[in-house]
Amino acid sequence: MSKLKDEVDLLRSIPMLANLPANKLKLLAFASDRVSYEKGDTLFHQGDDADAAYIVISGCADVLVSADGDSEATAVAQLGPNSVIGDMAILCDIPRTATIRTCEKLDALKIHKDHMLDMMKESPTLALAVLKEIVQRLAKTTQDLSEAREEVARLQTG
Amino acid sequence: MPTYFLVLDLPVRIINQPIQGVGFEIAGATQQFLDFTLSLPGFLGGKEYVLFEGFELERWPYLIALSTLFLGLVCVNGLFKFYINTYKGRLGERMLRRMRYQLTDRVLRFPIRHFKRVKGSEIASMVKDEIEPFGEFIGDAFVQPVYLGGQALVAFIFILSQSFWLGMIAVAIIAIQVTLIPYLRRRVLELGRMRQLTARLLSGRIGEIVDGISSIHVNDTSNYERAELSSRLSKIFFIRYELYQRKFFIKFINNFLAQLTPFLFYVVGGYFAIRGTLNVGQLIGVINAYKDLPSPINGLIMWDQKRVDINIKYAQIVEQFNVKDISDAELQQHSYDPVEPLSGEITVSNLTVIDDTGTALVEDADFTLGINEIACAIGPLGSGAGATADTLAGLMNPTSGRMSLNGRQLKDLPQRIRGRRFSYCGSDAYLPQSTLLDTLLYVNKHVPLRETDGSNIPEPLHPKTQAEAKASGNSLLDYYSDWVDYEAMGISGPEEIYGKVRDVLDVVEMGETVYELAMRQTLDPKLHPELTSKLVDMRKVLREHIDDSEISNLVEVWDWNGYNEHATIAENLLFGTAVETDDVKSSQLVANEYLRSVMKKDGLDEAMFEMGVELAETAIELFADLSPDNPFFEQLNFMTPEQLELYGPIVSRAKEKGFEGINELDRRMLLRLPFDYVEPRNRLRLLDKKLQDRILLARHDFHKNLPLDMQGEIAVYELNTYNAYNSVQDNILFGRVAYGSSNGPEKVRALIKALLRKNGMDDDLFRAGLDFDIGTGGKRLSEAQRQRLILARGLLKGADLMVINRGLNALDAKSQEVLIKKVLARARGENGNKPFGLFWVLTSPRVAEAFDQVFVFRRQKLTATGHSSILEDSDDFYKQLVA
Repeated sequence: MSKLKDEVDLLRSIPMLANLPANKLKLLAFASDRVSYEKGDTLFHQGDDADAAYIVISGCADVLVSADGDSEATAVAQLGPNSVIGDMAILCDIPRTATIRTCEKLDALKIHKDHMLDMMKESPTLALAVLKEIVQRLAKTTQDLSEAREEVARLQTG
Repeated sequence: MPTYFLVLDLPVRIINQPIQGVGFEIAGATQQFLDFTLSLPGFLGGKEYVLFEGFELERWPYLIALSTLFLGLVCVNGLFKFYINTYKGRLGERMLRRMRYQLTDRVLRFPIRHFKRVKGSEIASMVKDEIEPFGEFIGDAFVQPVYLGGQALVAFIFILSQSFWLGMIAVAIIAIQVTLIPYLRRRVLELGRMRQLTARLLSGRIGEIVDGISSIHVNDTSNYERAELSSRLSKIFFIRYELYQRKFFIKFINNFLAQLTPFLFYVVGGYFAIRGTLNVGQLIGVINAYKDLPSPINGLIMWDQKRVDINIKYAQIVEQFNVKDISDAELQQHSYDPVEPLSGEITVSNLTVIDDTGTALVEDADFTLGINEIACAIGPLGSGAGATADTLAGLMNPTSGRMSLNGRQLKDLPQRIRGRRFSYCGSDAYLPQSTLLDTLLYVNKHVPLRETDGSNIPEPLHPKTQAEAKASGNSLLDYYSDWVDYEAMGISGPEEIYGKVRDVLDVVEMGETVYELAMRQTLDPKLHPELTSKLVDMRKVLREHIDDSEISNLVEVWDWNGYNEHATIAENLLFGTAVETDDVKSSQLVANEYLRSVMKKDGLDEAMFEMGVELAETAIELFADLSPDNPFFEQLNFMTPEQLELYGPIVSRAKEKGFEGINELDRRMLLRLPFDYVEPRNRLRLLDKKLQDRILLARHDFHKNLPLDMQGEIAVYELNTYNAYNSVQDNILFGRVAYGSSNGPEKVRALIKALLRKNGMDDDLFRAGLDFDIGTGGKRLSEAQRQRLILARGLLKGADLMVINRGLNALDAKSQEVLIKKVLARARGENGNKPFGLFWVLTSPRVAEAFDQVFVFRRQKLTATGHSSILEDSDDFYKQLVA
């Protein structure tokens, strides 16, 4: 059956989800919403409650962060097709850590929080994959942080 | 009574005289009929005065005359009974009405704390069911003993007059009955009382199950509840069963004794008749009379038992409604006199409140509170702040200490002063079912002020309504009058009400909610002809607007000649909404012969069947191994988890036998699946342009020859007609918001709103929103909305002092702060509003600095009073609270 094939392929291309069995991927695709955004639309704001994660099908989006939530936000990254947006916030109940604004017309697959969590409960492979992903990000963040600290120390002494 | 005697006496005369020929021994003999002679007793001379000589009749006419007289007397007797029964009924109903009214009147006067101990459904069961027998009995209470006693006495005298010994037999049997039966009945009465109690507890329990249904579900205790219910019912069963056994045993004894007497009559009476001391007519008369004797005697015994039974029940109920500290009826007396605004200070000294478990809620509080003072109370839950607020509002009575206003004890203030000059918002926001507007105006309905023009009376009132209310001692105030006290709200009449209501709803930030509710309302064009026609106009304006705006791709409007991709196949096929949900729902659609015949014409049914098979297969593939409560099922719009199992075998049968070969039931099961299919939502690529065209064709075909009986069942989408079964928003939109466009619904809503505002429809929609039915207990609103609403109506009341006891605790801290600031601005009389005092028990103490006076409560004691700026420096606990 070729139904939902595009979406399933898209999900399979995400490293975190790659090892899920075919019917689970299909279920996830079936249960997700396909949403499209115009240029300049906002997917969500920093500080919002997180209810879903997004997988970009086409288009691009800016990641905007402001220091205290109210002041002017600065773009810290740009995301393109196949990138996952907002997956961390749906794993535990933390507010969105950044604002996502599209920089051109964007199509995405919206995966609801309940569905993602349920999938993880059912599939240890997925849970492990998510864990791996998070640890990798943590490692990267830690490295960035120590580099930044060194930078600060260097600037202070220098 | 005399008629009854004659009814008994006549048969004897009929049998003896015309039939057996006594007095007609010679041919041509006559008898006097209807003669009336007054004989004086012997000591007055024993003279006889003939008052009426009567008619002389021969034997045959005499028989007819006597028989006709008998018939006439039977009629008179029957009519007499009819008259008595009717009056008995009326008396009973009046009494019942009076009792129900008085009991509920007492409920209205119960002290508030009493309601912690009683269950609403038990009270309801007492007021409604348990007093029912009283109404039936009260008529009999006096009539029965007189009527039955008289009847028994007459029958008895008659028997005695015919034969002394037969009379004595009857006396003996009656004596046995009268002593034995009440003895047997004692246990029956006891059982009756138990039955009443258990039944009352049962209704209380059922009420609890209904109220606590959510905790039953979340804790999986439904089986525990079932077992409890079963044990309760079993208790009731055995009580009732024993009751029946005993009742029917008594009946058996009664019947036996009643039958024993005729036996003795036959034997003894027959003996006398054979010996010639008693004639046959007399014997038949006695037996006839006796036939009538047991029923009045039985009736009397029953009456006495019932009397005792009712006494017990009455005592039971009286006990329940005799509550200590019930408030004086005077305090709730209505009055048309205007209640002057309050001024001055409330002086509280040594206030202590102790609840019925003996726990102190407030101890020794001393303070003064100006009626117009803007004060708040802070402290942890249970610190005494809330109890002080409740006592101020009159929901609790001080156990000791005084609360007085200008020297008058607060608890002695009539409710008409307290209820109008004070307003109260608590956190438990229970609202009775009603419309939004009525809920708001409820607080200002104290006495009927304006007579009704009759338009709000659903059906004509009975002409005797007032007279009967008076006869039963009910309230004579007219429910249908306009009770709303407009002056208290600072307006002159009903025409200004919407502006006022909007004003307070804006303060509590509910204006937007009302608008949203209006958009979700369904309106009947018959009741709102103007508004609905305006909405239809709006629809056209919106259409033009959409076409040349950026959201044109967000909405797909209904088009008779086009398939609407974002609507279900069923909607596309019918091009309308099902009127009665039952008949034209998608599950039933497939059973509709006419629709099926239309689909069959070009083989659409087979195509849909194939689609159904595919849908079923996909659903099984994806969902088969999920538990039914899995959140994924929410996405499966064409099937329920329970149905999923059924479809496995159906699909394999479908594959084997095909569309033609499969049985009709399976065929329907599969055909109904695609009816809810929406391509952009389900994305299974089952619906191509070709199929859409075929559905369009079927749509046209369907409407071309629509049978008469189906025409009323589908509300067709017509550009110029308002669809009474769709929401206001759907009616304006006249189409579907596209799936998959982000924030589409919000954008469309915003556009509609702007358009409505621009065209001056705001007020109309606001009014429509106020007609929203809030549901039982206001459950169709969220708790935060209910609390906002209660605050709004507190403001609407125009009271002098507003007491708020954590009235907004369902809101988040930020929204609370915003509302508090807005209410404070009102209380201070900004924007020309009437200023009022506040005693606000705050959930978040940080706002305390905005109040003029702060009361700090800690461990049931008032520990500090003053302005926040002073407390900031002097009170550590205050600092801790606001930190």
